[in-house]
Amino acid sequence: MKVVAEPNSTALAPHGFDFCPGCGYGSVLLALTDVVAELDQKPVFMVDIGCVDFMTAHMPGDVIMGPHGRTGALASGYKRMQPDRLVCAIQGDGGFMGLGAAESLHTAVRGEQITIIVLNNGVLADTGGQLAATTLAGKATSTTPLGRGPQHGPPLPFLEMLATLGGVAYAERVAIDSALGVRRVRRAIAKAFEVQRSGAGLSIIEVLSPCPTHWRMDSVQAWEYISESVRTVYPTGVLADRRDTGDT
Amino acid sequence: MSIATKRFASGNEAVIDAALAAGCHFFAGYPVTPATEILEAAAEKFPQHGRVMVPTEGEIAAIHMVAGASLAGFRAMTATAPLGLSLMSEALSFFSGMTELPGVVVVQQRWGPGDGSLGPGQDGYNQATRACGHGDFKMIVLAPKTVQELVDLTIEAFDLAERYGMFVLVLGDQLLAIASEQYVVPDPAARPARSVEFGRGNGLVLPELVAVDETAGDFAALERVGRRWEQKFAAIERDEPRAERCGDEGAVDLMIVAYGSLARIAEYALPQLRQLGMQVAVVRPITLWPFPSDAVRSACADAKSVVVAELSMGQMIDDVRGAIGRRPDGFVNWLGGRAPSTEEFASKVAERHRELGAVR
Ligand SMILES: Cc1ncc(C[n+]2csc(CCOP(=O)(O)OP(=O)(O)O)c2C)c(N)n1
Ligand code: SF4
Ligand SMILES: [Mg+2]
Repeated sequence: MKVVAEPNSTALAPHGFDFCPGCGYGSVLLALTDVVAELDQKPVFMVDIGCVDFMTAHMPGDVIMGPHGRTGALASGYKRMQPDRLVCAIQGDGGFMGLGAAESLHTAVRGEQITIIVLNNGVLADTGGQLAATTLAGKATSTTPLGRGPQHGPPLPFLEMLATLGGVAYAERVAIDSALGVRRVRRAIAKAFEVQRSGAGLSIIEVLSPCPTHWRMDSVQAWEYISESVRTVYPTGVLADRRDTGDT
Repeated sequence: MSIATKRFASGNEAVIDAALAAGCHFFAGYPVTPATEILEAAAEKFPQHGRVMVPTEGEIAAIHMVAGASLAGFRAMTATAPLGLSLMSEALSFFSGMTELPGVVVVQQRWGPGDGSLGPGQDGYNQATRACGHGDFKMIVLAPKTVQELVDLTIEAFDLAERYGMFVLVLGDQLLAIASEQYVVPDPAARPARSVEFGRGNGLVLPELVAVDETAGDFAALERVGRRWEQKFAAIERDEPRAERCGDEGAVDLMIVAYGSLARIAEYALPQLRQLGMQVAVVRPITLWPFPSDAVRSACADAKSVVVAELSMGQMIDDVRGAIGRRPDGFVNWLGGRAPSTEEFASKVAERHRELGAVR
């Protein structure tokens, strides 16, 4: 895998990105662009609604935005009819684990031959930083001004749940909290496409991604928050790998 | 040339024969009375003909998968009842309204809000014709009255969907779903994917509105998209309205306006109504959107009285009123998931007609 030392973001987005400074989504976009450059075909992208939409203009391939949360189902329908295409859904945690939890779950149950990249920033960012299924306990958001309390339940370990399903061929959680972390994002995405190509089943990459704006932190603090807090609740690593064993 | 086969089966089974004949390659759906047998017929026959059928966890996934398959260039459909259509509304707004993807949804109506009843209804009219889902968009709604017409209109729905870039609804009801009749249907025909821009890797962003918004936040460009849609809907309103008149010609004493299964019951009731000494006819909208206003207006123009009949509290009646420019003289209806016999229909309509004579 080629590692691009200095991502050429001006080539990607001559008019600049819409992401806030310190947002992790730009890193995911660059990683994705690098990975796609090495592939022999451009994937098609299905994006959810959320801050991920700031990616659409810069995506390395054709992209369609669909209703909030249902991206997995949209991508599944496409893939069923175009089995030779690489299909990549990109969704925020709110869409993937909240509003679209049923569609996400059953995309996994069926083991659809697609790749899903989940951007876990612990909030519904695009609408102003409200409580998401992934918000850490105690963390204040605009709809939990006193912090996530017991009445909201603990953060949802959705990827851990999905990893138990036979249809999930590969599940990995990575974090954008260091330069190394960014490299791991790139590696994980490349792996996910490999899995998709092998026909083993669904590949999911969850990216713990800083949202300095709604976390009310600067970029450095946001990386530290991921390393010190988010990763204790959402440990990084490979959660499922059924590529070779066919194990269910 | 396709060869046609004569078959005898229920409306629900016939839908899948029609889908195969139309070259539909993808079906996804979730069971709901009275449309379940469509799903089951698809499960049986689609794989036999090398097509894809996915039983989903619900209507939301089903309609999104249909959209995905359509985006891939293939003819795709689902089938449901109005309560499933409620769940599909969000996606229809996105994919029919905003993205202009073609697709077909067969909706077999059962009566009632919520879970309602299991019997026939026509209270999905507003939901279907006012474009279920949010925002400025319309979908063509076709309303068959026989199994043969259900077959023909289902096939045609795929053509219309592609011609206009929208989802087309075939709005039937429980009677049409379960009635077994003889019909003629072309044999299954495979159909290659239509040529689509999406997937060629040229950096296409869909839907168009998102692409416009994303690049410039250019409101004039956004409005241009809206105006293009407006023109598309206007063209459909001009070119596609369809209605049928049957019964006595010329100026009649009574003009009945009804659609779908109830229109058929009305037609069967005509001899009994004539025996009461009246000249009577039925005008039947076949397209519910676009509503055949001209045909309904001219049919009703010199009728002594106009009576609208529906299996609802009165939904199509608003369109009839708009078409004829006044409140229809009478309205008869049946609720609770029940349709009348021809005798019951005739006597209720005759009674209404007599009352109208009395007030006049
Ligand atoms: C049905 C529906 N409800 C609400 C919204 C408004 N909405 C847009 S983005 C969003 C939250 C997105 O959160 P997430 O999926 O975590 O993505 P993020 O913005 O954090 O990247 C919401 C609630 C919507 N688009 N559709
Ligand atoms: S609000 Fe958060 S997720 Fe959205 S662009 Fe800004 S930093 Fe990124
Ligand atoms: Mg989020």
